[in-house]
Amino acid sequence: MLKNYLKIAWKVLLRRKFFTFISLFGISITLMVLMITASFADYLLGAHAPETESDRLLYVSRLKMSGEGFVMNTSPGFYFLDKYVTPLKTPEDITIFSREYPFNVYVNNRKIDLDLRYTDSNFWNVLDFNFVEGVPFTKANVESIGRVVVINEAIRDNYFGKGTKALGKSIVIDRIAYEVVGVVENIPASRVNTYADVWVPYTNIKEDYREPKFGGSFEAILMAHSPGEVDKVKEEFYAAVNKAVIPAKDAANYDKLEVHADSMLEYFVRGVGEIDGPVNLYQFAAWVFFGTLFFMLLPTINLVNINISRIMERASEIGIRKSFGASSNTLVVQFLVENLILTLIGGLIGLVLAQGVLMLINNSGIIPYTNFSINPTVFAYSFLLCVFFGILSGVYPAYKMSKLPAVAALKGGVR
Amino acid sequence: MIRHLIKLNWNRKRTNFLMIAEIFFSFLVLFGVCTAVANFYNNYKKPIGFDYKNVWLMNAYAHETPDAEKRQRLEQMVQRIKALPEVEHVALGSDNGPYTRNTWTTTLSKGNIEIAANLVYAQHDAFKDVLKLNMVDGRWFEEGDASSNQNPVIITQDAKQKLFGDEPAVGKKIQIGKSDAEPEGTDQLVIGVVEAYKPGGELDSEAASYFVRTSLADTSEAAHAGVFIRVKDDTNPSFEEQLLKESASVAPGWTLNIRPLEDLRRVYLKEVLLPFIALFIICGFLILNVALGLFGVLWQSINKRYSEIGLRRALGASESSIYRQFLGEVLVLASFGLILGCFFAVQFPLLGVLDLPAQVYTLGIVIAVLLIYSLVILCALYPSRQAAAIHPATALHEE
Repeated sequence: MLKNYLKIAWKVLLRRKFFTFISLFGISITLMVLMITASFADYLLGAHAPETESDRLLYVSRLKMSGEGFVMNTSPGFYFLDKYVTPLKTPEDITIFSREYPFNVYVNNRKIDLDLRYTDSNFWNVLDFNFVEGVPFTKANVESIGRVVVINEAIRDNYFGKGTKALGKSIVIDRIAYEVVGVVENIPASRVNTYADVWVPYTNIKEDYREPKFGGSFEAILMAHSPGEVDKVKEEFYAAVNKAVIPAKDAANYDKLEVHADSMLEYFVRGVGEIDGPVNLYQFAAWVFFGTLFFMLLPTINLVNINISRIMERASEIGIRKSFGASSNTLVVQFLVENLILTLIGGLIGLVLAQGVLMLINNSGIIPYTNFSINPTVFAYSFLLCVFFGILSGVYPAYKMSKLPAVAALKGGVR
Repeated sequence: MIRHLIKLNWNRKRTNFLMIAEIFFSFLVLFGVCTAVANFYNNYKKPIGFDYKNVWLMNAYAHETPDAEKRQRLEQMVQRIKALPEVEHVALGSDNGPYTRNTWTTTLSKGNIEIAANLVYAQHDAFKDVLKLNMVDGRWFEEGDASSNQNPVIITQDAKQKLFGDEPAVGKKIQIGKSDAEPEGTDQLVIGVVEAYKPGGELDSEAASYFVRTSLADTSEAAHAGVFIRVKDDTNPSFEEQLLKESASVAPGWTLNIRPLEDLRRVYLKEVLLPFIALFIICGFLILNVALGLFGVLWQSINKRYSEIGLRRALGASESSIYRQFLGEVLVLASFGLILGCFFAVQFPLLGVLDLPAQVYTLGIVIAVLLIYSLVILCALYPSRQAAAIHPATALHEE
């Protein structure tokens, strides 16, 4: 039965090539855009280096204090994190590091702009960097204000020359010479919390980071023992934060403190939606769903329109099948299958196109250090989207066709 | 003729419903894109107010240096930079320079009129020469303005227009920082008006800004550590390193960053335009998709009316009248969708959904309507010609 449907579908596709082209064009472009968006989203929020175990990580990145007429939205300070986050018992590991600082570095009369983070040594345990050369700096390095640095490949190639070994050499940043102890693979800027070009021990920071105030320029990542324990870590975090006493310097202006431990997705949604309280991920999912639906609306209407034209062309075929006893359901199923086949072919073309466009984006260097790709997860979602799209655009024409009275259909009436 | 066409379409409204819906949604998409383009163009047309070429912005972070020492070193640094042959002008100012995406918004008021304006501190008179600000009325700051108890300020033409309308503003008083705690605010004397100052960049709309002169000697005001430098034409970029070394020699232990405004501008344009271009391309594909679909459906539906056309031709209708009929029908169909679309689009300026001027929306609607009409005509041309070319004898014979 299915084999017959497939045969018929193939013949119909070949019969009116122009219509087939229009349908395939619409389907493949629509699905291409959705696949590219999906791969962007995966790139932004999926588990990739250095945050390979992102389902165990919680981010403490923003801190809000408010009082009569004053609101401060900033990164947490080292003092706050050290006092209230470091003592937490439930996380397996905790790292504290600064936001990225921009610096100009000069070599051979060339200027290199780089972003630098001041980190502790736990940073390298919690996060999963791929070392090309050397090793991370150690706790002893941090405590002794060691002038050591881990750099990425781009800076190595740019500063020391392409392909040279950088280990043991020194790089001058902000007029301080740091010794290179490790080289890691490039981290794209889309990893907003961990991305940088170079990382040095936080004790090198020139600010008075121990000053007793809550705001500052640091953030923390908590790593739970397992994804299931994330909620326990959150519970302990909020209990500790609720007991926090606002230091004298801040208490003059502020009396309310708001700080969150968010998963990567929650952090993203909080930033985009400017949410203060707990993040409602279901609401976010609903937004994404309706957004996708809205985007697909136009191509779907278009496809429905074309499908109706195509189906009405086959009125006499439908009439004959009906008069020989085919039920409406059989016909609906047949046309749905035909439409699904069309959509899947379109999806396949879309996949190839998406891969091409992503390669183009990667090669163009518009977004530094990126390597977009279509991974199995994205592929699976794309496949689901194809099926959804096929059914969505096929149901109405199939229904309309199956309701056609056999007599009218037989008469043809339409050419 | 038109009434007849409307009636024809109305009688087929169920069949045409999907086409109307398609045109309606395409119009909404085009309306969005056209409004965005119109908005960018509208902003771009307004003068930016400064010259970003050859301007370098150096940020000096003094870390834990005591305030008095910081002021002294900043002054030394400026003198040192001024002495360099490559440098044309140098001035200290607040570090919310152009393209830094750092703005300090405060409230300016005159009587009941209140506007949000970006505050810029100039700590040297040369600030105007560095950015090549263009005075249209009054004068720029002079020696003594920093310590004047009149609180002299300079506002942009934009702010002047909002506060004073067409009356001259120079010599009049405005208030800063009106709040519940301070119902009066502090009086400021307007001494000059500059043409414009858009710190966000050329595609930004926010233009109202005002300048306040402070002095390093005046310890009641904060010392601003943004160093604005205008270098001579064709200065070698490697001069940056020398500049940094010279500056660091008077301020050891400080962190200094130099960013040419041209670099900042490039980043800004990339960030503003990239997502927009992506959206533009996607919308382009959507519309192309719709156009192809429309073409196919029109072709199909004209084929279906083969006998009707044959009959009309046999009764004496000319080729061109058939041609006109089909084009007309399609245009009427498109108008149904557009009327519905315009009804929704007009709500944007009426309800003030986004903070855009009404003429931007009008321009967006007009362009979108024109685009849809031309698209529809383009799609209908070939099928209509086909219809007109039908020979009455063949058509009637087949019937």
